Amino acid sequence: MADIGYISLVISFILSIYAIAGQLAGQRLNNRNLVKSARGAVLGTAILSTITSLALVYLLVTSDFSVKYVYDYTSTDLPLFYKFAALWAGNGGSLLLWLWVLTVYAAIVTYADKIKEMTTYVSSILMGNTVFFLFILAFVSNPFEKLPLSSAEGAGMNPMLQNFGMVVHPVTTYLGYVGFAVPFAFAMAALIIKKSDDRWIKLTRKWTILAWMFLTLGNLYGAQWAYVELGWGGYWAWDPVENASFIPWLTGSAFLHSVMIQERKNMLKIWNVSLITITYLLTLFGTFLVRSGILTSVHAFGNSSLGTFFLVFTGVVFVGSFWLIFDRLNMLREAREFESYISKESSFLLNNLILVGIAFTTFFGTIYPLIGEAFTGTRPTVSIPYFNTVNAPLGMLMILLMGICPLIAWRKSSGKSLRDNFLVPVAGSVIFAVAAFALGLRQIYALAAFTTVAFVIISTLMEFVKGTAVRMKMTGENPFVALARLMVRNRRRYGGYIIHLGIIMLIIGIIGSQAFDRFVEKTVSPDESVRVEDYTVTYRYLSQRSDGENDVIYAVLDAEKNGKFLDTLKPEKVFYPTHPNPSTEVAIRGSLSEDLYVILAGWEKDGRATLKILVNPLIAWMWIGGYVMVFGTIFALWPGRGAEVGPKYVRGS
Amino acid sequence: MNKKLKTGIALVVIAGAMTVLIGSGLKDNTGSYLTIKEALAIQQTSAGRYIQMEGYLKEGSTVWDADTVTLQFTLTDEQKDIEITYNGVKPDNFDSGYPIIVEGKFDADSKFKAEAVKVKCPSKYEAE
Repeated sequence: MADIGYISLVISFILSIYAIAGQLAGQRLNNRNLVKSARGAVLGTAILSTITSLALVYLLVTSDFSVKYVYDYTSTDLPLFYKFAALWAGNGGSLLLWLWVLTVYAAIVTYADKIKEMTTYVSSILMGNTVFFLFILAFVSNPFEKLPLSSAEGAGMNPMLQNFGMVVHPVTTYLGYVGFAVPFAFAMAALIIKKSDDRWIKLTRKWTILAWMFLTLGNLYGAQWAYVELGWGGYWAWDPVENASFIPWLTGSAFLHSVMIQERKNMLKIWNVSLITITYLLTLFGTFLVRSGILTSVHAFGNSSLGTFFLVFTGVVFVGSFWLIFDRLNMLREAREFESYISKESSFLLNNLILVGIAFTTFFGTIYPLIGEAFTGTRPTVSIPYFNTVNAPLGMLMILLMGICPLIAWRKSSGKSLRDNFLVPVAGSVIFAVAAFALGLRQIYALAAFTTVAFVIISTLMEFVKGTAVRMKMTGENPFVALARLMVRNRRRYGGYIIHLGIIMLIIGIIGSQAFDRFVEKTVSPDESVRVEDYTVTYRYLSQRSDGENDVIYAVLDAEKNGKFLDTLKPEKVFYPTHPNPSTEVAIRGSLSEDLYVILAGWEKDGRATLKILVNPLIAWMWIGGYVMVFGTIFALWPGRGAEVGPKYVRGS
Repeated sequence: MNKKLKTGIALVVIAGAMTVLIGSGLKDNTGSYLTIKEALAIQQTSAGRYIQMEGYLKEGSTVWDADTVTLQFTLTDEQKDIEITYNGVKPDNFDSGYPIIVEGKFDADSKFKAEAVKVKCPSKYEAE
């Protein structure tokens, strides 16, 4: 089976090169049959990659420990679920997953053949990326490498990976990363054939939005996984590896917005092409950071040679794509200008600048240790407060803009319409601020942040209210029918607003958990209590149980809130037979207002236990916001009538 | 004033604001990544400077005081050892032999007080 996997890797490597050469040569020589056969090679690569992936899955599931990869990441007692998930537990396998998604995407795009004159180039660009991954898999990081001696038992999966997060986080992140390859390939193809219109944007909109949604989910699941599994009470630490997937998310978000300007006004062409190129480059660069071990991260990636290959490949794509953009600059230049500074267009532009700004500050902070080392010889470190102090004001500005944008018109807003539109949201958020202050919210930053959030919520909901009111007047429908039809008939717009509301929920969770988190670390004797905020946690006793192959030691705690019994919590330490040290399983008692989060840090011979207890306010809204964003995305993408873009807003057209 | 000029001014203002933000952010929140040897060399002179070090736990060096929730241990690399005091609990895998990252400062008595002790999450993407 390992041989089948490896041989199909090598064959697909050859096929993918043929797919590029054949399509390009066929196009040039006008030889339809050559193009057709080369496109067959694209499909062939996809099929062979599927076989390769299945072969590795088979080896993992049947625990064939003659293969190093299977030995390294699994053991016989591992649940089937995780044996399968081990496909992306290590370097080789995770790149194979990436390759598989890429080849399937390439086959879909090639055979859909949506813009005939572009397909050859789009397909070749995607296959160019495929060649790189196949090269890495076949010659650098071969997941089918055999051990000199077959082993009876594997090394087992790291306990931290044995979590639901392991199943969803890597897959969603990869789907996001790879998804951006498609709009990138179309953008490049449009430049190659010298088309400066927005067809490539319209066509790849779904790809872009889906990639963005998966990357959103990937980041969120990563945060949630860290929160429930790593047991430090947080969910985001501005670690290089986290930043590596956050930065392309920011530029991808900017791209989603700026293409609307091109669709409606034929502007920002250079910006859009550059933005998608940068986004795609950042996914590659992020992989380089993650796999090279060049930066200090709690994720230990080892100093594998993979990083160098990724850096070289990123460099090649960078030079190639920007050379192409510069070569076609004249074609992309536009005569049009913004008509007014107080218009939706300019608010979109500002939103782009801020998103890219946050991406830049994060990128800069991430690689600063490398820059500093190059100049001074010693490596500086950048700690978490840098990212928070720099990005928080930018983020707040971004959020504020999210509320302002719906209130101003395309092209130009008159003073009167501005006053009318801003009245309710401004008044509402001022009332909110006064009320919050009166109720005792004294933290100036949190107050400002929540007031901004209130402004955005009111301004976004006003869009629903106003639209419904207009519809009711025109059609005489009752409010519910009018609202439903309004949304369904303008799915892009209202899907977008739903996503905005989801982001606001996420922001509420971030503000709450950053501004008001409290924690206590204490060693307690049986029946001793610890107070944190409104909670009293009483330690009863320590106990032990078996969970399959694993031994579990847990503390039994009674939690009270304001003197009323709430729940019995059992934070654990789990001992895995394949792992020398226990790992922490936290106990979380969650609610919409806050999470009570308890870690059993250790215990003494006399029965005392050391507990770390945190209260994380509003954190549940982060996860809820994530699901609202997914719902909004699907709502916006749902095909059929009502899914089209609105009218063009160009003077004289 | 034409629009190009206005846009130009806006861009300069934004770029300026970003530079100030990044500059002040870096000024207050950067430290040095040092080997243990380098850290020991500045032990007497650099109280309060933020330092990050990587090394391994010296076997048998851990002293855990449950009552005060204080962890003391010796961090070692091939060349030197350094005593670390940390007001907090042992992270998972602390004594598994994985690399440990310590962040913190020398206090007025030239003792290293860690603000964070992290264990490198083992073998997620192992070196090939």
